[in-house]
Parts: sequence; structure tokens; C-alpha cells
Amino acid sequence: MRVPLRLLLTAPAALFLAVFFVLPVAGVGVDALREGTATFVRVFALPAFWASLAGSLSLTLVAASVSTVVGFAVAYHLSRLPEKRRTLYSLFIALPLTFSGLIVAYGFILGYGRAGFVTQLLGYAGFDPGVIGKALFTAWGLAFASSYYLIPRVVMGILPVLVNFDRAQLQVAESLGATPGQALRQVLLPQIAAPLAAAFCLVAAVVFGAYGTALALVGTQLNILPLQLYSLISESGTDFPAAAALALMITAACASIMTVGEWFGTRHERHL
Amino acid sequence: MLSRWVTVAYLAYLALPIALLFTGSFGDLWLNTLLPTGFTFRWYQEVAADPSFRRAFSASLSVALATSAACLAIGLPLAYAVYRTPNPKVRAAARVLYQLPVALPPLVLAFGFILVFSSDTLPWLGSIWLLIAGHIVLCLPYFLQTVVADMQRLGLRALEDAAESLGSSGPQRFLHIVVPALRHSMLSGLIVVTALSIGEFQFSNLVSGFLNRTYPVVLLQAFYGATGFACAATVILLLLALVASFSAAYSARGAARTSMAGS
Repeated sequence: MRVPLRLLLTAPAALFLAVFFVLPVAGVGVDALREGTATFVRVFALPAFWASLAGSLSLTLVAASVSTVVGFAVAYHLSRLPEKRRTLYSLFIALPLTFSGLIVAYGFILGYGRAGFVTQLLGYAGFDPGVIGKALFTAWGLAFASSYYLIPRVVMGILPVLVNFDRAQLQVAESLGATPGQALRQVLLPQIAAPLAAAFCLVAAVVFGAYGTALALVGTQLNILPLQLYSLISESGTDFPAAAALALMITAACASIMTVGEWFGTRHERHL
Repeated sequence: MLSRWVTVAYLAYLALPIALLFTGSFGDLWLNTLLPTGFTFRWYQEVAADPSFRRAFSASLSVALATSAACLAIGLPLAYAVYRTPNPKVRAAARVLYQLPVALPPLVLAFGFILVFSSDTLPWLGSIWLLIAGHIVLCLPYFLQTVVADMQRLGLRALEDAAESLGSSGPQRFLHIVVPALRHSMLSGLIVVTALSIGEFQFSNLVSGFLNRTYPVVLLQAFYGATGFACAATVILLLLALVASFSAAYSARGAARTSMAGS
């Protein structure tokens, strides 16, 4: 295909993204940097900024770690099933990917909220329903609920790698005297470490920048950065440059995590 | 085996919220009991009769349809051009560029829209077109991913080369080879786009105008009311996502079969 034709085919999408993606992001950047460092000093001085940063970091770490571990275990189990059953399970597991964060939030309120199904069951089992019913509305609870749409991303990311993994290697290791645990740790894990890290980064970036489920669960009461940005934007008489600086920091964090993930992803491709 | 028990527990964790939403939507009264009491359809009738939900439902459908059409119109030529680029470095760079919107939180994109499109030169904030434009930015990467992956799997270039050696023109090849070969992945890509657009909340919540609020934005208000009503309203959104997921999987299966027939 000739070069001018290729440019012609690319032009509509490129123009569109220039106006509706690059321009808005540049707008945020310009507003954030217009007054130099003074804006960032104001952001750091916002009430609850440091608490929100800590909240976001722990939410991201906990949710992404739990999702990666559970996602790995599920993908490992699926990779050993016959193909038909694996396809069926995958279809079911992929469902939350298209769910709105609101569906997740209300479903979890019904299950684990103050009068939730599981909360009451645990109450019958002798636990204090007052304590359990409140747990959902903390950063831990949010991590528990966020994993609902993060785990499928991990499973879908590493399932192809596990399916293509040659299991004979594990049998060889075991016939040479390795325990099943040792074979997993020393033969399987090194080979899938890069895709696992890539999956971890992807879900970490997603959960770090998300506010929908959190807003539906707890309103703006919880201290995480995206909720702080959301309340800054939606309140009247807001310091827009400060909001822009906060938005820029959140974007930089998400983009860096994604870049690290991409790096792990391409490293694995080269390895193959 | 540990991984089996994790999987069983995970499937229960996955199914429980869905099951409870369905149960709650048919329950007459659900107040501090384990499960609701009584059986009723009235919550669905109430949602269907609610003017703000009706308006939001049709707004969501129009936005999703327009988003899908636009993704096809600008996405397919882009995917084809990227795929046909001979230089692998340019191809890789193009892929990174069009995947960029995935790294941007929808909240930040919405804020950028508020900053840029509420000015005197570009006073578009509140219009449904601007809302659709944002949905296109958020959904386009997923459409491109599906279609480009399929182009690579099908080995489209070999088919096209064969057709070219038989004397076909570029537009002929595009219409008679590229489009039919990609029909399954285009369809599943478009279904995913529709599903994402219908469920989108984080961007729409800040950018949609009062008269074109989408379904999820209105749904959030229902969470503060009666449980049955909130469940029924949520189940409607859930059903749309379920239908979309199953049809996308069905057409993706068609794509897998095409590639096997082609190889």
C-alpha cells in the first residue's frame, strides 16, 4: 500500500483523537503547570491529601496483589481443564469486564453491606455483624469489591500463557526429585513471572485511577486520590488549577504503572 | 489441589452479587432479612414507568449505537493502515499510541473535557455529541485490539497478495477480502464497544448534560431508594451486559473458526 493512502486511512482517527484525547489531556497539563510549583504546593496542603495518597497506595497494592494471586490460581486450574470446559468457565469469568462499576457496588452492598446476605450468615455463625457490615465501606472493603472486575483481567491475561506452557517440564522436574511445590516455584514461576508482573501492573493502573465503585459504595467519604479529585471537580468554586495538578499526578502514576507493565509484556514476547 | 478450591471459592464470589441482584429485583420486601419476602414484578414496572429512567435508557442506547458506528468508521481504516505498514517499528509505535487512552483514567478525561469544552471558542459541554466523542475515545482501543489481533491471526496479507496477483484493485480487495474475513472480529469488537459504552459511568457522570444523562448516571440515584427498585434498575443494566458478553463470545467463536478454515 502506498504511503499517501495509508495516511488517508489514518487521518480520521488521528484528527479525532487529537481533538478529543490530546487536547483535553493537554488542557489538564497546561492548567496544572501554568503557575509552576505553587499549584502543587497547594495540592499537598489540601486536607486529606496525604491520607488519600496513602489510601490509594494501599488500595492499589492490596487489590492488585490479591487479584494477581487469585487470578493466577484460577487461570492455573482452568489451564488444566479440557478445552470445552475451559471456554465455558472463561466466558463466565469474563462477564465482569463489561459490567459497570455500579453493578458491582450494589451487588456487594446486597452481599456484604450492613444487612447483607453474607453479613447476616456470618452473624448467625457468631461473628459481630456490626463490624463485618462496616468493613465493606473501608479501603479494605473497596479492595475486596474492586477485585471483582480486576481478577478477570488477570485471568484473561495469563491464561493463554499457562495453556501454552509445556507441562512435561514439571513432570521432568518431579521425576528428577523435585516436590510439586518446588517444580512450580523453580520451573513454572520463572517462565511466567513477566506476564504475571504485566497483569499486576495493568490491574494496579486500573484500580489506582478508578472512582466509580468507590463513589457508589461510600460516597466521597473514603480517602483515595480519585475521589478527592472527583469532589474537587464537582464542588462549586473549586481551585481548578489545583484539581488539574492532582489529575496530572494521578495520570502520571497510572501511565508509569502501565509503561512498566508494557515493558514486562514485551520482555515476555521477546523471550518467546 | 489448592487451585481448585480457590477457583470454586472465586466462582461463588463471582456469582453471589449477580444472584442477589436478581433475587432482590423480584422480592416484594427486603428489610433486615436474609432474603426478600414475597414475589413481585412491580419494581420492573416502576422502573419502566419512571420518566427519568426511560429517558436515560434511550440516551444510553443512542450513545452506544453512535459510539459503535464511529468506532467502525474511523477504527477499521486505522487498523488496516497500521496492519499494512511494512516497518515493524512504526507498527509498534502506532499500537502504543492508540492504546494510550487505556492508561488515562476516565475521570481525568472527563475533567479535561470540562476544562477545554466549556470555553467560549468550544462551548460544547452538555451536548450529547460531546458525550459520544468521549465514549469513542474510551472504547476505540478495545475495538482496535480485537480487529488487529484478528488481522494477524488470519494472515490477511497472504490472501491479499494472492488476490492482487490475480489483478484485483485495492478497493476490491478491501471490500471482498478484508471486510468479509474480519466480519466476526468486527462484530465482537463492536459488541464489546456497545457493552462498555452502555455501562460507562465514570466519564458520563461528569460530562453528560442534565437532559442526556445516561442510564448508569441515573442508576446511582436509585441506590438511595427502595432495595427492590434499585435491584430491578441494576438488573436491567446487568442484562444488557450479559447479552453483550454472550453475543461477543459467540461471534469471537465464529472468528476462531474462520481462522482455522483459512489456515
